[in-house]
This record gives sequence, structure tokens and C-alpha cells, in this order.
Amino acid sequence: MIHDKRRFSVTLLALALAFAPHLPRVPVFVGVFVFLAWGYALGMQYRGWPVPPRWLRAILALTCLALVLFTYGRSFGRDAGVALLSLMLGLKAVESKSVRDMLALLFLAYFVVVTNVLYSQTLVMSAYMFFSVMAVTAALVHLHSGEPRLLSDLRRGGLLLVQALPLALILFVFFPRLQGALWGVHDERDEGVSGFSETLEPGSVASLSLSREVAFRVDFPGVIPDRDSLYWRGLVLDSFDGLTWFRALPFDLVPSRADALPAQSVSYTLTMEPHNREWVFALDLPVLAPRGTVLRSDQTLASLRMVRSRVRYDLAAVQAPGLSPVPGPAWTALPEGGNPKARALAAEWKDAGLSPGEMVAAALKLFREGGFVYSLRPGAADKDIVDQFLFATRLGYCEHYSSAMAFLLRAAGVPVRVVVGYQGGEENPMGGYLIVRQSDAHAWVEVWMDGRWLRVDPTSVVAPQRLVTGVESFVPQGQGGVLPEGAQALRKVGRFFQLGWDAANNSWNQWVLGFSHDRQRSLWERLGIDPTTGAGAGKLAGVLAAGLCIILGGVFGVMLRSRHGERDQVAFLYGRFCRELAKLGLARGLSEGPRDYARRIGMQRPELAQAVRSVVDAYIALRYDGAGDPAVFKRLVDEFMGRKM
Amino acid sequence: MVLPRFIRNVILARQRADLPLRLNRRRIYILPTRAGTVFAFFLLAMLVAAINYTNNLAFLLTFLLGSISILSAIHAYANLAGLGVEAGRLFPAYCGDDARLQLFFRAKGRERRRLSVRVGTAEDEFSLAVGAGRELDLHVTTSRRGPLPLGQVVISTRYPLGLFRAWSPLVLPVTGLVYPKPLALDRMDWRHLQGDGDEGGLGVVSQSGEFGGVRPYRPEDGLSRVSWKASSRGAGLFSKEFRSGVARTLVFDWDDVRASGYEERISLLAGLVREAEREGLCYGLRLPGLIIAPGSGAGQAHRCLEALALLPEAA
Repeated sequence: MIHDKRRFSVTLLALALAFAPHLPRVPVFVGVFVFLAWGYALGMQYRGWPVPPRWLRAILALTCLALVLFTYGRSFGRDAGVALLSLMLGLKAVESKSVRDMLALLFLAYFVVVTNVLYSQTLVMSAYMFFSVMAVTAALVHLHSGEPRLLSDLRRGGLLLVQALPLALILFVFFPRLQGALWGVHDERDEGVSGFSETLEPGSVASLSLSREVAFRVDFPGVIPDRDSLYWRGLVLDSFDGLTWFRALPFDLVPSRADALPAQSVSYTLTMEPHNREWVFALDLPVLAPRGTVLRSDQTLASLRMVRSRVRYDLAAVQAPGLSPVPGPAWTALPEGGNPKARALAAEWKDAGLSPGEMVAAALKLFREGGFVYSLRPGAADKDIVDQFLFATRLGYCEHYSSAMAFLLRAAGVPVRVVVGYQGGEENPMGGYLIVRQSDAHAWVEVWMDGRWLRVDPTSVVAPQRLVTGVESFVPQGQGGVLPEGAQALRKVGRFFQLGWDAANNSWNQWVLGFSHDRQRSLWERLGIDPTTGAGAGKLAGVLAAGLCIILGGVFGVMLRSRHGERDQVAFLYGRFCRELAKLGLARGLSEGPRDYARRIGMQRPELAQAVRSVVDAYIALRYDGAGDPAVFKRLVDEFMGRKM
Repeated sequence: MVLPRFIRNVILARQRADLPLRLNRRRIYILPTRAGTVFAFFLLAMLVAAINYTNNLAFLLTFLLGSISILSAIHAYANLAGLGVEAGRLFPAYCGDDARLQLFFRAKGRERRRLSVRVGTAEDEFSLAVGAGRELDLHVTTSRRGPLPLGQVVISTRYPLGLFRAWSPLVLPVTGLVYPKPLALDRMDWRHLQGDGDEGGLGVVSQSGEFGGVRPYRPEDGLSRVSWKASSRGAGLFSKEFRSGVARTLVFDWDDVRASGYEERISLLAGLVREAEREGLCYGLRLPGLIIAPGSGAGQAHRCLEALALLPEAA
């Protein structure tokens, strides 16, 4: 049947649209197999190629399974599943003959669309997924619609999707969310997540300086604080081995004091991109541990679980650090030997009897006046890196300055620690929030003075604009140096779209992807329901039921609406006229034309003859002569309906 | 599905409908198809996966697909609701042949896509544009002579997604007639038997006649008796009239037919009527308690075959 051929082609087209995003993800042999199989299936439909015998199909299926097992080994996870699903798409197409087979293929296509969420949930991909759902739905309509009228089927598919959206949104918002998974989830999303590591060594922060990837976004309810005060603490490093700063000392957990928020605190909401570590970046200094996190004694936050998906935290920060006990000797420990010149300088300071504050000032003065340059490419050093930096190259990035300063102060016996995190961020005027990127990664030190850990950022004296305009002003811009004016303008436009796009993505992340158990709870609380006792849930259920009824009723109304065109208006009026006469016992016979009808009425009820005659004449003129005015006809019918009995 | 007879009767009584009618919510039923059930399980699996991975996009897609399938039920209903079944006619047929059922549909208000009509084992599909009407021919099998009640007509649709099937079972006041199965008569036999008709071999009463002139055409005359020569003068149709010889008037008599059984006798008479009609003869029928005067034409054949079809069952 010619219709079946066409239906099959449309089914394959929908399938291809659903499969397209997977194509770069599956192994090459899978992609090749799928397209060969689809090509052969088309040949079966159009050229009459034979259906492969059952044994051949069985061998093919087993070979595919073996190849997938061979490729992925024992780690049968997401990728292997999708590869297998893709192979099934090819195999099933080859054995498809009936409408039922095509139906199964299209169900598979829906499934393939949904498996995309395992890879990407960006705005673009989501839009594409909605598009493919529409395509598959239209193909289903095409399968069930009689004559192939593709455009009308496409429209019906779109109509279904549009009508389903409000219903889906209500379900999405109100379907109860659980906290955590039903069973263990093996997550493969480890690869390709950038961000800094747990240690600080020369080059570890600089390597991020070119990455425009978003680390997290921050929403301040009020005014965004000054950029140079935005220090996002990641983790505190307490030990040095001559090259690398790392964390070795044990820490205590600070009990969360959610009930006693200090008056001078700044509240904000932070949405973190997944980085597969447990640390949580918080504005200097965090005072609250939101649900799922703990506050450590070194004033950093840590998540109880690895951050594998985008998380939203409500946080608060205070500006002034609180008093802390005298740190132990571990906070001034340094490795034996190495960096003799730096040690000598520190000994000089110590012998001069400088206080810790004066030492800090001396170090900053050294950086400011000693000819130091802030550079992304300071070159590599192998041993005595502090000496090399301080007395030879004088070229360094924030990790060099922090590392050197911490070394000097420790050598002079002052407790000091290195903090890594982010500094600054870019305000998105379109969303009114702050974007912090990987390129904002930063390192600074904290010195224990007067019973508190005080923040000292040595980079700020070398490159003060780093704190104001961000790292970009230091990024080399190719060979051209200063860009021509046109390119500058283009850059601005590009920037504008980039920010707008980020705002759209952020809204998508916040409102759709970030809608969690907690946010649902707070929504319920705002609707006047106590989530623990469920009081007031009945009211909500009533409102929900009413909402669903309104939506379904609306769709009913739209679908059952008659489509009266100009022409049908005439038919409708004539029908009313005939019904009126039927009430008088003068029903029109099924085979009775208007002229005969009028003649019969004229004989049976002479007093109606005149009125009926004029209506029928107008009807005949409109219907059969193509002449006459529908408005006149309507007036005549109305007059007839309203006549004196 | 086997139901007790009285329940079936109650259901059938509910489905009884007068023509013309419009399908409305009292007459339309809707249930998921098998594919729809499979799809529901598939959605459930997706929902569980979405809950387990707490993946909001998966939630959104699952709910979207769920909503689409639920709304497709409304679309299926709307495809059927308001459909006008305006007339139905069941043409007579010989027993064993298929009787032609003609149904007339009209799409009121909206266009209709792929409606399917099933009567017994016969099934056909059609679509209608807005306001369009269309007649549909179906072939109903016959198994015994006599009145042929139409039984249940089921109009159904799986449009748009095939996940739901909306259907409307109707018992229409349309009754057909099944003529007895005519016994095949060999042509030669038939000629031969005419000769000794007077001896009553087959119960053929034959009268010879001669061409006697023309008279104005009467519908029962049949086309074979039209005198085209006389009619060509333009004063209306004329029929040839026979006095004897050229055409014969035959009366098939129940009692004179030699047949082995009751039904076989009826079949033989039906065969004779059919053959006489084919030959364009003038014939009548004499049955117990009923005499059909000689005549010819389709009307005469129908009268005779109807009388035979409605004969009571053998005692």
C-alpha cells in the first residue's frame, strides 16, 4: 500500500530526529549500523527487498549485543544502554511491516528522546527534545489518520503538545518530589568537569584563567556588594611541602546557628554547577549551613554528598571574622630546608621585632615596590620555587603571591593559611544576578592576628584592577594588541547576547531543573500547607482538581467546537428554520429539497406560505445561484422565528 | 465474550437507535487500546526513573507525554462525537451471497479522520471533510433466508495517536431480506422442461402466445418487452403484447414442483423465478395460501422472492 510506504518514511524521519543528538555519543559502528538498517528498511518498502529471515535477524541481534558488551565491558551503564537502544532502533526497523510495528518504533523513539536527559539538560537540548516529541507525536498521528496529509497531521501533533503543556506543568509543580533516590544511582558524569583541584601549586589556578565555564551563579535579594569584596571561599589549605599547599589538619564541625543570624549578615542564593567534589563555595564568611551541608571550623562549607547535579543553596555571610583560639604549631609548620633566601628575609623581619601586622605590611610593600608583575604565564620552576619567584623571576599569578606570602609569614612564625576559591564575578544586568566563572578562580591567604583569621590578598597590591575588572584584562588578546573599533562593538553585541543567553539558561536551571524537594516544600508552605502534618492539603487538592477540570474542560470545548464557515452559517440558519417548522408538525423529509418543502407547506398551511416562500427563495439564491446576501437571509430567518404565532 | 442472553438484550436495547442520529456521549465509549496500555506501563517506568534520578527534565517529559496521551482520548472522542448517521439501507441478497449495506454519514461541525465501521466481519474506513457527507458500502454475509436484522454496527476511531479507541455500538432499525438460495438450473434443462410443461414435470404451467401488438409501457413489463420500434416515435414507451406463442406466461406452482424437501422446494422455485426474470418472461407464483399474479420486471421478481423468503420454517 502506497500509504504504508509513506507512513513508514515519516516514522523513520521522526526516529532520525529523535536519534540525532545521540549520533556523536554512540560508537561509530552503531551509527553506521543504524543508518544501514534504516536504508535497507526503506528498500524493503520501496523496492520490495526481502525481509531478512528470522535466523539472520537473530544473528544480527546477538552480534550487536556482543559488540556492545565487547565495547563497554562490564561497566554496563548509560552509554552502553543507549548504544543498545540505538541498535534496537535499526533492528526493529528492518523487521517492521505492520502498523503495529511502526507504533512500537515510535514508542521507542519517545524513549530515545527521553534518554537525552542523561547527557544534556541545557536549554537548547530541552527545546530540541520538545521539538522531537512533537515530531514523534505527529508521526503517530500520521499513522492513524487515514489519508496521508502531513501538514494537517503535523498541526494536530503540535496542537496536542500545546494543549498538554499546561497540564504537564501543573503535574510538574505538584507531583510530590522525594528527597534522594529510590535506589543507588551509578553516575557516569565524572568526566569533563573543570574546576580547581584540592591542592594549590604553581599553575593550578592559572590553568583555569581562560575557562569561561560557569562555576556558580549568585542571586542577591538586595544590592550586589562591591566586586572587590566578593571572596568566595572554597577550601582552606594548611600544609606546605615545598611545592604544593594542601589540606592535612583535622577540623571540627561548627554547629549550625540558623536560628541566630547576625544582624550584619548578607543573605544570598547560590546555584552551583556540578563539580563532583564536596566543597561548597560561600561568600566570606559563611555563618549558616544549609540543609545537606556542614560548616567546618575553618569557615568553609562542605556538602554531605558529592555535588553531582546543579544545587541551590540559601546562604548568609558576615563581613567580620569572629574570634578563634590560638592555632597550634602546625599552622606555622614548613618543610625542612629549601628556599634559603626567603627564610633569611623572614628571619630578618623576626629579628627586627616586627609584629604580624607589620610583617604583612612589609610583604605587601615588597610585592608592590619590588618590581613584581602579575602574569598568567610565569614560566616553570623546579626547586626553591619561593626563592625563584621572590628574588629571580618576580613573575607570578595569584597562587605564586599567596604561596610566597604564606611561606614568608610561616617562616617568621606567624600562623597563616592559604584559601582557594573564587573572587569577583560578572553581574548579568538581564537577570540581576552574578555569574562566577572558572576564570574567577583565585587564591589568597589568611593571617592569624589579634585572635582572628584576617584575609590578606597579596595579588591586590600587584594587580589592583584584577579585583575590579576581573582576570580578563590580563588575558592576552592575540597578536593584534588593541582591537579595532568595529571589532570592539561586535564584541559588545556578542557580550550582550551572551549575557542574555546566560540569563535564559539561568532561569531554565532555576525554575525547571532546580525545582527540588525543598523548593516544593517551600512552595507548599507559601500556599498555606504544613508539609509535615499535611494540614490544608485538602484545600489545595480541591483547587488542583478544579484547575485540572478547567484545563480538560477547555480542551473539550476547543475540540468539540463546530467550525462554521461563512457557508455553514447559511446551513445552520436553514437548519434552525427547518427545526422551527418541525415543531409545527411540518418536518422536512430527508429527501425533500427546499422548493418541494416550501410547496408542501404552502398547501398544508397557506397562512405560512408567504414567509416560508421568502426564506426558501433566499436560501436557494445563496446556495445554488451563488447570489444573495447572508445577512438578508439571517434577517429573514430571524423574522420568521420571531413572527406572531 | 459470552454474556447471558438477557444481559445482551439489555445492552442491545440501549444501543437501539433511530435514524437519522448524531453520536453523542450516551452512545460513545472509550477505552485504551492495547498499545495504549503498553504505553502507560512505559510512562510508569519513565516516572520511576525520573523519581529515582530526581531528574526534573525527565519528570517534565514524562508528564508531557502523559498529558498528551490523556488529551488524545479527548481528541478521539471529538473525532466521533457529533458524527451524523443519516440513513441506512440493506439491499436484498440471495442466501449465501453478501448483502450490500449502504450507510450515509455526515461530518457535522468538524472534519473526521479515519473512522472505521464494522458490521459483523465486514469493515471499512473513511474520512470526512467539514460538513461533508458520504455513503459507505459494506457487505454483510447471509446464512439463512428470511428477514435480515442488521445487528450491531460499530463505528470506531483510534485517531489521533492510537492509544485510545472511541467506539459507538449502534443497533439500527434497518432490516434487510435474504432471498432463498436459488437452485442452479441448467440452461438446457430449462428449455427442455418447458416443452413438457403441461405434464407438470417441474410444475411449469406454460401458455403459448403470439405477438398481438403494442400497448403503453408499464413498469412491471421489464425491458425485454419494450417495443423499441414503437417507442422510437417519441410518444412514450410501448410494450409488446403477446397473445400466445412468442412469449409465455408461466406460473410456478408450489404443489407441482418436484423436489425432495421443503427447503429444496423453495430453492428450486427461487431458481425458477431468477431464471424466468433473466429470460425476461412473464411469470407468476402459486404458494400455499398465496398467489402472485403473473408479471415481469424487477418488482415482480422481488415480490416472488420475498414471498418465498418469508415462508415459514418447515414444521
